[in-house]
Amino acid sequence: MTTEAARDKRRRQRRSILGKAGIYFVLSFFALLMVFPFVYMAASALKTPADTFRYPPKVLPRQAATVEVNGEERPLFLLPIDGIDTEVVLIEEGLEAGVFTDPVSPEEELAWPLSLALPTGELVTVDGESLEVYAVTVGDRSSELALKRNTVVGRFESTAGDETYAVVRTAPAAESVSAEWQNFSEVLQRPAMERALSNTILVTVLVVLGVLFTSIMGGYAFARINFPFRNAIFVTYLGSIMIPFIVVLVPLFQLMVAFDWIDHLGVLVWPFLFNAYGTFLMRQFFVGIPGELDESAVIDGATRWTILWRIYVPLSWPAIATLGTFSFLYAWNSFVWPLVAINTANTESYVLTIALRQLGGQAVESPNLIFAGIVIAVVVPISIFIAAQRYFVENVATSGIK
Amino acid sequence: MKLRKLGLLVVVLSMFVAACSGETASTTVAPDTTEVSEGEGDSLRWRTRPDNDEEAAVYAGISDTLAAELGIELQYEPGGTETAGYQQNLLTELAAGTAPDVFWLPGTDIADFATRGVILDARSLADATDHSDDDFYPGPMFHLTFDPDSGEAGGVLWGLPRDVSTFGLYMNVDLIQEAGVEDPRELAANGEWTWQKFGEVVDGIGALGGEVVGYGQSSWWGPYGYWINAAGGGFFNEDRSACALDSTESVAGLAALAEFYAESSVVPWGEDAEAPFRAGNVGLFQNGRWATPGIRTVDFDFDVVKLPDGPGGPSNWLFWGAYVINANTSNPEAAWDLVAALTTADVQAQVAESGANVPSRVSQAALDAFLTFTPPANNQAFLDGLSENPTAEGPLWAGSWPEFVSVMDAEVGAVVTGATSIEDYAADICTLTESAFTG
Amino acid sequence: MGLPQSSKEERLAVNATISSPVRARPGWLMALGLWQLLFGLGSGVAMGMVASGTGIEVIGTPRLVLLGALGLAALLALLSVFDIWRLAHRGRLIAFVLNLILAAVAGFFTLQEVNVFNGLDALGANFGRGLPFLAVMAVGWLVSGWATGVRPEWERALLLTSRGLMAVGAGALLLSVGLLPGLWTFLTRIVQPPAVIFLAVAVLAVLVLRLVKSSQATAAFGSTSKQLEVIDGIAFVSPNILGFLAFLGGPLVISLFVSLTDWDGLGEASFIGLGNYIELLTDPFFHRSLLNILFFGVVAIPLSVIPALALASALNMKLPGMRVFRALYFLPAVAGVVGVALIWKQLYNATIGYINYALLQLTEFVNLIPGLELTAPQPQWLSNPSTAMLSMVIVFVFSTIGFNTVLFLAGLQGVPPTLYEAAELDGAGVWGKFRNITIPVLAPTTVFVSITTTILALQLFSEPFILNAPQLSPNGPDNATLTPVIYLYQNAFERFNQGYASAIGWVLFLVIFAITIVYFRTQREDGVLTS
Repeated sequence: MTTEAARDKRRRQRRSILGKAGIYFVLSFFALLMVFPFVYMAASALKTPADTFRYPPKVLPRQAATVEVNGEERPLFLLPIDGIDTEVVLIEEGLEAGVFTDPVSPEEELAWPLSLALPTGELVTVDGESLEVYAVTVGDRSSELALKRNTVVGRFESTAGDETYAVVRTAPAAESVSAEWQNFSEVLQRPAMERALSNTILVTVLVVLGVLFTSIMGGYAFARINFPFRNAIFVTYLGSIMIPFIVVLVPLFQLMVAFDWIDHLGVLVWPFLFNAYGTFLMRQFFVGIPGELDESAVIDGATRWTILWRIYVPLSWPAIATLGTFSFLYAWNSFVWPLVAINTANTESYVLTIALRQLGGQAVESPNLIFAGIVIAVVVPISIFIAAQRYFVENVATSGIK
Repeated sequence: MKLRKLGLLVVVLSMFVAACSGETASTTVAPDTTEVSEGEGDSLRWRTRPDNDEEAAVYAGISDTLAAELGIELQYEPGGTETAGYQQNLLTELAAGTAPDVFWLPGTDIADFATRGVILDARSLADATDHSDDDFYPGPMFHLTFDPDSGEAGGVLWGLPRDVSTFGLYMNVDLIQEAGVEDPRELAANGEWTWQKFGEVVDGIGALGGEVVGYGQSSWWGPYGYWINAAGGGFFNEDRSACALDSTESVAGLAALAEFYAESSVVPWGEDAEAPFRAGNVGLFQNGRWATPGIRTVDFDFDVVKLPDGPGGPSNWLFWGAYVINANTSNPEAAWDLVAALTTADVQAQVAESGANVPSRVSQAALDAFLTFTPPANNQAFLDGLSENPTAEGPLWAGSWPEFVSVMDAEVGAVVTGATSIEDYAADICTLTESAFTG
Repeated sequence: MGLPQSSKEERLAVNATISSPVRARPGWLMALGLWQLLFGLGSGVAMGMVASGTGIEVIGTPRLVLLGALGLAALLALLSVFDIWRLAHRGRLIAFVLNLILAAVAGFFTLQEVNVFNGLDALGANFGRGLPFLAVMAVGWLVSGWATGVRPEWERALLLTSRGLMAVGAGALLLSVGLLPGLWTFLTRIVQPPAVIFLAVAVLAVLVLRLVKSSQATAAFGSTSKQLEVIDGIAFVSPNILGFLAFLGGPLVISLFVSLTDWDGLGEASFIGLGNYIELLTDPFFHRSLLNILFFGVVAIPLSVIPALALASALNMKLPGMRVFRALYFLPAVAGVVGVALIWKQLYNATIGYINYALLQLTEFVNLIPGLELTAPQPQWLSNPSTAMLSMVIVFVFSTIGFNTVLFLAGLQGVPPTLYEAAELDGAGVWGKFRNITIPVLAPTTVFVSITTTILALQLFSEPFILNAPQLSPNGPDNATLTPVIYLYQNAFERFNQGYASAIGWVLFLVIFAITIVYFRTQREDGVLTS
């Protein structure tokens, strides 16, 4: 019986180790999917424009290795000379050449200058096509090859003075990983970007503080103060979460026109200081705080205002942190409303989402700048999140979202 | 607890500050970009969409010069690119009353703005000066003088064209040489640049294999419209009052395009062709003059050649946009002076030198300035487009151009990708676009 | 800002008034009554001005609403005069509510006149300079966080440092963003006519409010603590309620009205009844957008909820490294949809993009198995009508799944670990525990997550708007990504059919409302409204 139990235990342990490995595998797989776009973003932000258009794509930013020839920087290539890959420099381009093939094995092709090929005057049929035969000299060997079509090649030379020829486009370039840090300063110099960053921070700070204030007030009232129709008002207010913002897009826009707020930063702040969701969140948390606390405080002569700020708020940091994070993300990333309410011309009122979208349209020819812009836009929220993440999930958990 | 009070105080104070500095902002710090200058003497805001940063700088320079010449305070604001919603933003601002006094509009949007009454008929203002409609290419001027009430051109004046543009084929010369195909520039010079030869060149380049393809275009109405026009067809009937996409010629043109896409080596329909062209993987890339300054950064040898002649002879588009005046401007006279000054041969030459546009004024001086912008060596290709039977882009006075285009784009795309047969398309297309004309 | 504490003497005085058989009507009470009388007359006059259109010009629905509100205010004010004379508590309550609204409205107009609201622009212009000091404040705040759990003598020093840093940072921040010139312009502006009048009204209203709330008033009116609680309640919810009415409720009513007109946002509107809604019934583009969003919802919502549930229960196992995974999954939610969409746009590129390249590599890898000769799929993600919406689904799921995972994790924290231990003793496996414990416990969370995800999904806008530009319109190839919100946006701000756009908004609202109700029905024992 003991041995059986031990065996059972071992089996369970084995199964649990296997299970854990499986869990880690699945989690890592998802994590890779989640993170890859950001790695790609960060790497591409450091590329040259041509590097972003490269195919096949490479994650890390690369630049062509160059070497100085006669006081001039020239790109290095890697080409086979006598069967060994050698670093060579492009000396001359646009040499008239032919694509030659061995009639015996027609799938192999060689692009070689016509100056090193002599017509033999013979014809050979390859794949049903009649082709001229040339005597082609490669190195010190000459072979009879059929000319398939004309092309152009470049002449390459190694440091040892050996020569070779190849089609420049397909010649593999020697490259090294190197980063273009000035992409960031370049993108910040664009008219909209720098202001957009500080504007976004300002708008976000104000919205978060405002939402926290109104939500704490409202949450307390709905949780602890009795007044007529309290529950009816609360349910109506909560129900407004279901109203898609888009329904009020048009009238809110017209209202802002009437207030003459359109195009000013305030239009992104003032209408968004009131949040049914935040009030709900705070209310749920306050409901869980024992009510005897108020009663004893009231007996001591404290007003509700002091009770709220001295007793309730200090007990509610998890909920406040959660609400703060949510409204931060909401304000930082809001897009539709700024798109409607801020003019294209008025870059002084831009926020990052609008600036990014504009950048995406304007800098199509240099995606590296778009990526640099995205990095600037996401680096603040991501670093705040990383700094605060220790508290975050625990806070969401204890804040009563269930 | 004290900390929290302090924090609260800080919040209140900074709100206060936010509030108070208001005056400093509107008087000293920020230029008045956000309010329509109502009756504040001669001060105007104007906007045009630059094609790139250098051109934006040119416009800003022109704005300063003109401000000094005209004695008006001018504020130039570059709009976004078209794709970043230039027209939508203008409409939004017009509704909010914050639109600039003078702004540029793409040719196709003139009717929409004019019939809404948001742009000014400048005819009486123009008659008081030495303006003449004949100084500009007639295609754009037809639409800019079209009166939707009388249904005739020549009476009103909605604005003056900023510039014109045509399509060319941007060539990757390296690929063409590598593929050993005939040089399109020579074919064009010899008058042999036809759809058939074009197909051969494209297939020859495509034969290089790998990622290389012969041809690419963007999938908006301009590029496919060329195929319809070059086959002798067109979008509309003669007086642009009804759809003509189902005429034999129009259908033939689209059928040829669909066949070409099905069998030749091309950038897939709807995919951005500019990125692979820049990456050096596309032989011929059809686009307008506006793409030139950007394409100059590629690291292969490039040039341009005119579009091939179709069965209906040579064809091209004449793209244009115009400076128009906000109907609510407080100073129409100054606004007209600005529009006139922005379209002089001298200013057009300055803009043309930055390479993205062809002057809209029939003026040799401006054209010469345009030709100085090399590479591409073959700038003349774009001017050839202007003289060889171009179709002027234009709005739909008898209907809604945006609606027409959105239906047409979808249907044409379906034919080219093979989702709809050309016969079904021919039978249905003009019924489907009917709603664009009935409103 | 706390309300004044009544001193001992005052309390004694209060007791004296209550005990005296004849209630005297002191001067302040007469003043209050007079003020309310003025209030009523003023509202009446304002109502007359709006009705006749002299002085105040408002048109359309707002006019009717304003007339009604002013009329009601006038009636209530006169009623309160009567009540105050009778020393009835109702008068006090009415006076409180009316003056609260008056204070808010007058305060609003004061700030509007002084250009406070738009003055934020100026702060924005200088804000960049203040950022370093904001960082100093943040550091100070972090220091206070480290102060707990260290040795007492350290704690004191840390707390002092933290306070010092925060105070210095705040001061420098305020100075650097232009506190002094701001204050100066504020003072010069506020003394000018329209602003100073609004300010005076606002200040008077606030004074009246304090008077109404004072303990004197409590005594005079003999209000019970229950009645006082009502006044407190109104005071505490007023920011939310006023904000709600101004920026959501009000616009909502206007929106309903606009949806019954053919307004173009520029000129006059005419009432066309249900015309817009009837047109929607036969609008092929709207139908297309509904079909598209239906497809999107059916695919995207389960994909962003179910895997999140699984990931959350995996993360909930107390294994090392889970924190790192949790952070990684949350990244896309933090980064925001515009940035994420721009990244994916490059990845999706069919000719040079990374996804198709990866598919190519993957196929080559699989083809290493002898006998296999697969051709790599190279979808035109964004330009092919059949994959365009799928591409939107992928980006949407990518950006919501992490957020949902965290919500589920939060729900799981409420499950006592003993429950799992007991199940383990009963021999339940991973699946058994998941089915019999996790799912039932998470039912309310699942409803909540499903509702929020659904509301988000049905309002799909940013993804197609960003991903399709600049090659395609937001409608996508063959209108494959045309969503109701995009259609609404185009009607409202491109074609300026604002009436029609409002009708689209209302239909969308009804759809979301109906779906939410269905969710609640499936989960009656939800904890949302019962607790």
